[in-house]
Amino acid sequence: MKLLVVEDDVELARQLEAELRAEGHLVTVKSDGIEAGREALKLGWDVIVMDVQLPSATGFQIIEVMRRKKIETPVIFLTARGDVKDRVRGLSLGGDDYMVKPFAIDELKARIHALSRRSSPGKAEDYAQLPAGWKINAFPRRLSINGQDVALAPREWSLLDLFLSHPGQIMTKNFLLDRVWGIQFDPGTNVVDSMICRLRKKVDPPGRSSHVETVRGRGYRFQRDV
Amino acid sequence: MWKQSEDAATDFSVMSRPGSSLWKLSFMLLAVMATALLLMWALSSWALTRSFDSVGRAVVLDDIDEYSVLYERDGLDAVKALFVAGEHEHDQLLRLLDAQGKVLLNVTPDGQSPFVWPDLSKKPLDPSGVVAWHREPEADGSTLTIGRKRLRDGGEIWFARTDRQDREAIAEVHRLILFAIVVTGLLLAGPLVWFASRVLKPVRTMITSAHQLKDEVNLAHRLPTTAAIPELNEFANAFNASLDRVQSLNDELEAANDQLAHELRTPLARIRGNIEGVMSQMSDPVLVQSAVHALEEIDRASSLIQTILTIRAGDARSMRLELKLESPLTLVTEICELYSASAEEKNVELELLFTGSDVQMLFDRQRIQQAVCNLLDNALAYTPSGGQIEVELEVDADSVTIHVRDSGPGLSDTDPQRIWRRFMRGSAASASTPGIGLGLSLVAAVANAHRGEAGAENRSEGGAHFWIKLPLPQHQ
Repeated sequence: MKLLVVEDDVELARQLEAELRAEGHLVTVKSDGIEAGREALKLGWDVIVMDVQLPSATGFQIIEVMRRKKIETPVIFLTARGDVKDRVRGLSLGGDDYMVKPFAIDELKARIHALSRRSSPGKAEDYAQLPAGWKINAFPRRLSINGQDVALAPREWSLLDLFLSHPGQIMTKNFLLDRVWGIQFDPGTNVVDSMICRLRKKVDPPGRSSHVETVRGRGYRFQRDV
Repeated sequence: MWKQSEDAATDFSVMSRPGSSLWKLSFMLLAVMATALLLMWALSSWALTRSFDSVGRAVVLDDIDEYSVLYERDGLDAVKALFVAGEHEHDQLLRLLDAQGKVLLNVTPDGQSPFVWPDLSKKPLDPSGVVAWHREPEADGSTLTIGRKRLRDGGEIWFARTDRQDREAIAEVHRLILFAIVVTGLLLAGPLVWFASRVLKPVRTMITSAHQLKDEVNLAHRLPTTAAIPELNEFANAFNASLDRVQSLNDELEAANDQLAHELRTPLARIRGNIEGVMSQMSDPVLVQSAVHALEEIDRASSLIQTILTIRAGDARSMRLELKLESPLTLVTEICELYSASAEEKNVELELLFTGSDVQMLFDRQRIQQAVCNLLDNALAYTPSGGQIEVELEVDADSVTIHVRDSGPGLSDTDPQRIWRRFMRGSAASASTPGIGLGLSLVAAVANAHRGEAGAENRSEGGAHFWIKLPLPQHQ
């Protein structure tokens, strides 16, 4: 993917560039607001990752100009301001996602992936890559594994949907909480772990390792073949 | 326009309430007027009576002397002729007695039954010719002033004068005083109306504004200035100036907090990125474990920054709420679903109860969710395996209450006040219980920002009971 990263903190910009390059993305880094704005108005970016506080122009100003000029490139805001009003403002100006520093790089990767998927629709194709023996019926929604129907609660469906549409991608707890439950804070109880456990019991083949792999300190990853 | 007139009506009803300063002022003015009236009445009566009295006596004295001289010089007929010529028949009486007490002349008022002179035989006259006085009250309230004098021939002359005319004159003066007082009283309505509209109304407006300032999230509101009363205007200006200062301090503080958060988060992000960077190169499980701990600590520190900022904003009621019309039932149902797996894992029964009918109300979903989650985190942390947690949504006419009851150790006696304070942990907390003691402060701050309240108590059957109560606006 072609990514534009706008970040004025040199150290963070370096880390982002390295991590995203390692993922196989083509990364361009800009640190000045005006320069970044000029770059953002060009077509061809898959996703723009943009800091809000920048020298000479803010990320909010840049996206306003972009959306006014009908440039609909997906934008993820990175910011050191965690207030709800800033999140709301960023999203209402046309931002697609919002992350508060410090963030897990895996979460940024998952969000970039989610945004790029959105611009190329077609969930059915993603579900083509199902584990062996799995069958998913979209309407009515039904999962059967080896001919056995598996009953899933609505939130378990959302969870599974996220995993199936981001195969091999590490998903952080924060990302899952935000996408499945709409929660943007970290509850003290390990609610996500428990929900994953419950999901595993329903979908995992007995006697083999889990489809939902725990990546220590980072999150969870869906594995098709176990 | 309509709004304004409505306000004015409210103002007036407040102003005309008994006990308001308008009432007090009216009563005071009324009392002053009444006192003035009484004083003028009494003093004028006293002074006029006195002066009429002395005038009356002088008249009687003059006439007695005049008649006695005339009688002694010109005889009875001359006296009679002078009396008639004086045209005082309606208020003066004259009687002449000879030395033996026989009535020589007795002139009584016209059209009246013959006047019966009082019997004054027990008060003998001074032979030297000094006038002896007697006052005789009459049936109509007037007084007869009688002067008697011994004549040189041994007879007596009696002359009497009623003060009926004097009394009428006094009554006339009283009527004039009353008229003056009534007119003054009516004129007093002018200052009262002025007081109500130019002094009280601005004061009421200021009170309303001050109340709004107390409740409003931002400090942008200012007291209205009023040109009519220089003192009030000065007060409003001084008050507004101090508000400007408070606001600028508040803005500075907010900016400083944001700045601080920013300054802390950026280095945390750098550290986090670096740890993640080296973590992917690590193969030693001990090193990975340390790195994971470091990441967890960074996340905890960053959520601590946010929590402290949120609590501060909630306490100051300056939390910017993202209010949306939502169903509290949906909210608690979703949270219970989220926690169901964790409860199951801990072997704790999680039950959702609902009383009342579901409503749509305005609240900040994210904040309330966080507050309820904090209560549930707490309940799960303190409830032992095999215990129960009960979440209840109670909706009544004017409030929505979310209760969280657990079967844990409960709160110790001192806890209910202590636990809401920052960084305080209940006595049941052990070193392994997660949390840093900010959770309940955040619950209280969120409730406070929604103009609600949070509370805690011990259940009679054991365990703790926490609740968040949010007011329902009446129109909903």
